[in-house]
Amino acid sequence: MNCEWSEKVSALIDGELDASETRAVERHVETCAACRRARDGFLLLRRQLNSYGAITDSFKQRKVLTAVLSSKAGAARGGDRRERGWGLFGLPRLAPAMSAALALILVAAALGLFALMRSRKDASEVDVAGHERAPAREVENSAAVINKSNPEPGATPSPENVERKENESGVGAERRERRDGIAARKTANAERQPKRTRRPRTKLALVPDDVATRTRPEENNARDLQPNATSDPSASTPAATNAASNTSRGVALDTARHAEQAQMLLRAFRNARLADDDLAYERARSKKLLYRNIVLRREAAAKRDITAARALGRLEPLLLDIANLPDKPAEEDVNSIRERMRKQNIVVLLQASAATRGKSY
Amino acid sequence: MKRAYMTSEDEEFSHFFNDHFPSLRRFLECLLGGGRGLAEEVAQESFMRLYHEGLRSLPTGEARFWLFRVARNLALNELEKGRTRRRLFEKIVEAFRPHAQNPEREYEATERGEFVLEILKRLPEPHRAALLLREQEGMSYREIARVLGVSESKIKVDVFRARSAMRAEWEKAQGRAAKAAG
Repeated sequence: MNCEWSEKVSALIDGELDASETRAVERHVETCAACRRARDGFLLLRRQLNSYGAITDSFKQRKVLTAVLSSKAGAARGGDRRERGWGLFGLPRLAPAMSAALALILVAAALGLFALMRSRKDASEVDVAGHERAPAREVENSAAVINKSNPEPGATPSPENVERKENESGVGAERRERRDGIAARKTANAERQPKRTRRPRTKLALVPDDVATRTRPEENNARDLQPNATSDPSASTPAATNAASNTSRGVALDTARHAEQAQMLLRAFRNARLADDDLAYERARSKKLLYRNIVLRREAAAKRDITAARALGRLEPLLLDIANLPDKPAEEDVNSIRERMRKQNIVVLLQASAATRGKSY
Repeated sequence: MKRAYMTSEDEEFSHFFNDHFPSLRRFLECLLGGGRGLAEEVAQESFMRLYHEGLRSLPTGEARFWLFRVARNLALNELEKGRTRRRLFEKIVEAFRPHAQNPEREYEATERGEFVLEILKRLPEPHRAALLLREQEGMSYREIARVLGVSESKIKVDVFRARSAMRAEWEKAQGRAAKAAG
């Protein structure tokens, strides 16, 4: 026979009573045989439950761990070869850090090569125009050589200038030579001007075509490594800046839209009557929103948008629990989720988030 | 099979996995009423979800509760699926099962701890889950309430009811065994 104190005895052995209650129940147990039997019975069950299934198959455990760790790579690319650590064409797969380092080295090498080719091209043009830093004699000699080889008078120091150099000496002569060289280079540059005006277009071409659409954080980082990326103010053009702000606006609008849809779902869930509805629509919708929530939360975290990340982080467990409800959910399960929604004030939070993000962009 | 490399995140996850897989597997086995294979499958699926979610994306200390919550929800789905299949199967099995209980065998089973599983199965799932998290995982009522998404006061009542029901069944089995021996 159960004493009315039995429930308190159960809480006593769990350490869930406060100090005064603990003393009172302990005193009672000393005098009540039924409660003593109950306490002993509960403790025996505890020992039985604790000892059940305590031994694990470590081989099986390792196998499960391998399967879990391989699941991401398998999901991304598929195939058994991936699980063994082999990449494309039978080559060993590199660690992500090594792959990133290799990619950086390749990009740096490509940039270095590009810069070298350009400098050689510039150098050859400067030789034609006259070298500004060469000592006077070298300038004379080169001018003489150039005059012989290059028929364009405008691009080279004139014979008169060369004669003047022979007559004058010292710093003044050097300065005049430099001026002449610079002037000649400017002339040569002016001829090249049309090519230079095309450079901004070349810079834009380095930015991926999908710059106006939402991209993953790692793509943004890769873009930042490239020269003249949109983050570089000195190199940005109005078109590239617009594209970057369009991306941010797109993400914010997506988050605002998502917040609105989540809000509507939670309202519907809160107001649904379990007697008339098995919440099938809410569960399916919650599943879809859950996947999008995960993506948006990660993006917000990558962009260090703490407010959005936090709001989405609070929403996620609710979406998960709604999506995981069984076909005929028990009322207490549904009510518990509703209670959590109420405590977190999640609907109001989403409303505010949707309004803020929709307006600020 | 060992991986050629492991990122620090993978390493952290592996430690977490090794710390919690045995207890999660045991919890699921008891929750699902036996069937180690199914418990391992559900445990694997739960860890996979955690892995894809990202251990570091969860607040400190929250991962364990998140894991048990997901595992319990997945187990509920399995129980629901199994319930439909079993309804027909049990009708057939019941027709052939000997109806007389063997008290001695029952008592021996209590010694082996299998009887514990048997009487656990007879509990309603919420009571079973609450009791297992309390006794096997040592969670407080507040923590159990977080995992199961209900109030603390409900957990207190559920744990008590589960214990009382199990104790009653246990004593009945012991009584039967004593009668048979005597």
